[in-house]
Amino acid sequence: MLEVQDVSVRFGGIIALDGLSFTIDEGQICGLIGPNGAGKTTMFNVISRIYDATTGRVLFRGTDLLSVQAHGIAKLGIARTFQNLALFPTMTLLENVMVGGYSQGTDGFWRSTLRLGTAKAERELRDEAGDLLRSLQLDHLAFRPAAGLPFGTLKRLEIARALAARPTFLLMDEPASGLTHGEVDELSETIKRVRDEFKLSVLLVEHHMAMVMGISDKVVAMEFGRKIAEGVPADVRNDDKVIAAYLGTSA
Amino acid sequence: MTTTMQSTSAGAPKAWPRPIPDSSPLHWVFRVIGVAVIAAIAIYIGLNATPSTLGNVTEACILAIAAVALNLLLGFNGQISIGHSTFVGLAAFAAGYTVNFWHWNAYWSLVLGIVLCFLLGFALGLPALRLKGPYLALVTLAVAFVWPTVAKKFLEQKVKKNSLKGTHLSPPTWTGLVSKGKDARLDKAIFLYWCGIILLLVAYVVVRNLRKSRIGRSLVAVRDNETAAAVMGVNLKFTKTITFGISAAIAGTAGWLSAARLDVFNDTSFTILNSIKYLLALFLGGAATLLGPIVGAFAYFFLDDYLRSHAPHWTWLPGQLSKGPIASFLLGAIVIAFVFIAPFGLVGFVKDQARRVFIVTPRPLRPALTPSALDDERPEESKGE
Ligand SMILES: Nc1ncnc2c1ncn2[C@@H]1O[C@H](COP(=O)(O)OP(=O)(O)OP(=O)(O)O)[C@@H](O)[C@H]1O
Ligand SMILES: [Mg+2]
Repeated sequence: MLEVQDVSVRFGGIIALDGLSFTIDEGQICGLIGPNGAGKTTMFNVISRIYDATTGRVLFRGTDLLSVQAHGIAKLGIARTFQNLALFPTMTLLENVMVGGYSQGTDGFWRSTLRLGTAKAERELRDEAGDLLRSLQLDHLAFRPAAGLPFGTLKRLEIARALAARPTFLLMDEPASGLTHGEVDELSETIKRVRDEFKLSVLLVEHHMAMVMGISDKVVAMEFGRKIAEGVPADVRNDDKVIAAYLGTSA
Repeated sequence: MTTTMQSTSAGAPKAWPRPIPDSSPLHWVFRVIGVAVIAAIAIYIGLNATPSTLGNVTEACILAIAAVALNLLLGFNGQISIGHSTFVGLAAFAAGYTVNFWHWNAYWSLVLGIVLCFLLGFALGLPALRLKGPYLALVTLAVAFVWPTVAKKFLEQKVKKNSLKGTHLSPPTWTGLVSKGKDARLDKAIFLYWCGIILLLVAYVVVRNLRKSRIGRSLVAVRDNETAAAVMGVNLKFTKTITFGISAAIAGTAGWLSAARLDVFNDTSFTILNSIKYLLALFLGGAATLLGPIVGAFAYFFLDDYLRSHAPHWTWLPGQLSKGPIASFLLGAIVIAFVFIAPFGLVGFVKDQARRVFIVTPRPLRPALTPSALDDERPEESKGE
């Protein structure tokens, strides 16, 4: 489904990604792990077209993603969450999720200005956004602005907003950061549940090892922008290079 | 079940503030009363006011339309413009020139003004894509600075005079405002007054509709977080340039109205000072609120008018203060002080006060299709809010 082929990204002198390749199959949850600065977020930004790749190709169901613009990604069925939150702080939680459904709508400037035939789509979008908030246990906060809510709550809002685009491929950047142990378990359940409910493939970046190993079908480990291991969780966990990278003894 | 933060569900029901469900009969009563009161005031003024009062209200409408235009761009989309006086001037010049020299129908000159302003606004939106905040402010500032020079060249070469005549828009016969002689002045004032009210109403409805739609949400999303908006599928280039164009086009209608009202105008009629006036009016009333720019413009205009006619007589002011441009000075001080006290402007201030008495509660979400067991296990962190 997703084929990352030999992708490199350079920022001036820094090589954030260095010939990275991996694949994800339909319906898989793929964990992407690696120490801080390994290039995980950079990979996300390449897929969602915020960054350009210096070399390489990214194929998504046969489409060359690098020839698509950032705003065209959602239409292809790709949605993401952000590591450091990229919400719309002045909007309510409900509105945030409704913006998430932007790519599903068709009302343009003319129809919006005249407000002709927009009522039905708006009502449906609102209803669906409400359902998604409920699905992530945020419905009681629906009419609160996003600004000022706890980090863990906003992390869940990011997931609800991403799902509003009705994606078939969801990228989550450290969804468990800032959560307590109990909440992490709950989040694992939520991710599996939405994967089944929305028939998603998932690319998951996470430092919480127990969680990644627990829910991933496969794991890609990277360090300094390069892949150091790829495979089922049990193999990757026991890989010498991965252990070394995490213990910090790697050269 | 659901823990709501609305004061309504917390134990014993509190009497105040009273919740009013959105779109409930009571909410509609309030809405209808609000609209009826405003309409009654507008009609009363239209029927009874003197030509000079009518002229003042029309002038306030012009300011309000420009502020509404700026609110769409700056308040909702987060793009600052100090160049909106240029759009007002462009449409005024287009109207004055085509009506006086090409003998165009004044209403076609309105269409022309709107189209020209949209195109110029769209073009200005292009560099705006790469610029943010103070840099965008500088570019639009430059446009406002250049306009008088361009206008002067135009007057010299095309008009061959140092000013352009107004369009002398006269009321069509079906309005019945066709008196001759000394009542003609009143009739014309009444007609322009209604033109102002209608154009302001149209501008308001356009911005309101946009705001309450899919596009409006995307405008605010772009303002709040561009990257996230793009990932949600919002085409930043398209959205920002079209918004700039629409805002400029709305400002153009204000310019057309100016050309209909003024006897003559020239290169000094639409300067950067006008742009600053639009900004002050917007922030006085409350940016990013629908009524803010209108309330702000009227408050600004009539405060300005009052200070101009009274402040010079305030001999109790120390020193030579009452001799200088005291009105502008006081006005600036008052607006700044007010925005300091009420950062969300007059509308934000009134809303805050009203919320102590009534709270409009949003329409509830669609109930769960199948009651989920998860509903009872809310995470701890959200319970206390
Ligand atoms: N826009 C940018 N400009 C310059 N350097 C960047 C930029 N984005 C990322 N980098 C650099 O690229 C490298 C990889 O960063 P990235 O954010 O992808 O790491 P990460 O694996 O997500 O780390 P973390 O676990 O801390 O989130 C880092 O050295 C970072 O400093
Ligand atoms: Mg990261």
